Amino acid sequence: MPIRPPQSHIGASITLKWVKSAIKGKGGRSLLVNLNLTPMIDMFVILVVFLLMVFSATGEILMQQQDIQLPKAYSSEPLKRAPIIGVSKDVILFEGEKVMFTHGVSEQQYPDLKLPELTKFLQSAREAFARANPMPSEPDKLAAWIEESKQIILQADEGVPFEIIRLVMTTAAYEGYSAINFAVVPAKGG
Amino acid sequence: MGGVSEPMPSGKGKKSLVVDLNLVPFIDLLTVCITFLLLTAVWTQTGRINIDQSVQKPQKVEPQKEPPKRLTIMIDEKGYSLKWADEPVVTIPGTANAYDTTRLTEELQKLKERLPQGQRVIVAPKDTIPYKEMIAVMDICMSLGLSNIMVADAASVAAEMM
Repeated sequence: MPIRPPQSHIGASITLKWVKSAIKGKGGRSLLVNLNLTPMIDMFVILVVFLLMVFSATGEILMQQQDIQLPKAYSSEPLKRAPIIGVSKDVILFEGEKVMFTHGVSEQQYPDLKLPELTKFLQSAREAFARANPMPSEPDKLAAWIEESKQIILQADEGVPFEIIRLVMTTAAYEGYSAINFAVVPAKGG
Repeated sequence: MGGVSEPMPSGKGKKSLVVDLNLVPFIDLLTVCITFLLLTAVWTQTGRINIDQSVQKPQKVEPQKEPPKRLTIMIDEKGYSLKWADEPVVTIPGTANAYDTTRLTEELQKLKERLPQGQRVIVAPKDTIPYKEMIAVMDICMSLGLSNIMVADAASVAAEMM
């Protein structure tokens, strides 16, 4: 190995001189590239505009269930927060929690038109609502409180037979949830 | 690094008009905006069709001169059956998967002119009818301004539809 004069260098064969010349680009291709940021900013701006257009201030009230295909409707109103009963072809859910299987649910099995499993969930939801929002004494506030307390959302699959829906609705009505909001997918056009 | 500059002639002696715009904060802001909007995005919009099933108690018990007229729409496997007050039943044939919603809309449109304000509509599907058919009928009623809807069992209204 030859004896070299002391100088700054990186590694055995790459000298600092070479790095300097490579950066400055004397003769060879420069390592400094002027990055063109315009297309990236364009893309960012388009993304922001698109996301702002689909932005909803109310947030997501209903979590889409994989096995629940909601029916479409042209004339619908925006959803408000309320307890959610989900009815798929296989199970009945309350706030995402399994209540019972739909198989065999019929008027013959429940002649009093009440589903006892769902009743328990609805009763505990009502107690929780009363704890969180005590009944007001002012008459005008009381009317709003009563109206709010009887709201319920029914998120049912479009293919579920009406008999199951009817039993769920009567169970809810027995427990005081008489204002039933059928969750639908707003159809375009109309 | 994140600057965009064009090779322009610099001012002679005076301060140059070409400014090297620093885009880094702008890109930072856009990135934060995109992250926030992606996290809060609602991809599936849902709406509601509202009904009130509660039985309202009459304020005063008065002997009524005549019973309230009822508008009933029954849905079964054969199609729709529409009945208004004492008039004969209008049958709109259809099959299980292809109900004649156009004709139902027309019939209700014709009837609507004669209906009193806030007329209650009773939608009564048979037990085997899929839920979406009930929603379709309710949707038609809502679009015609008949928003006072009640859902009933087909068996309970079958007698009057005869």
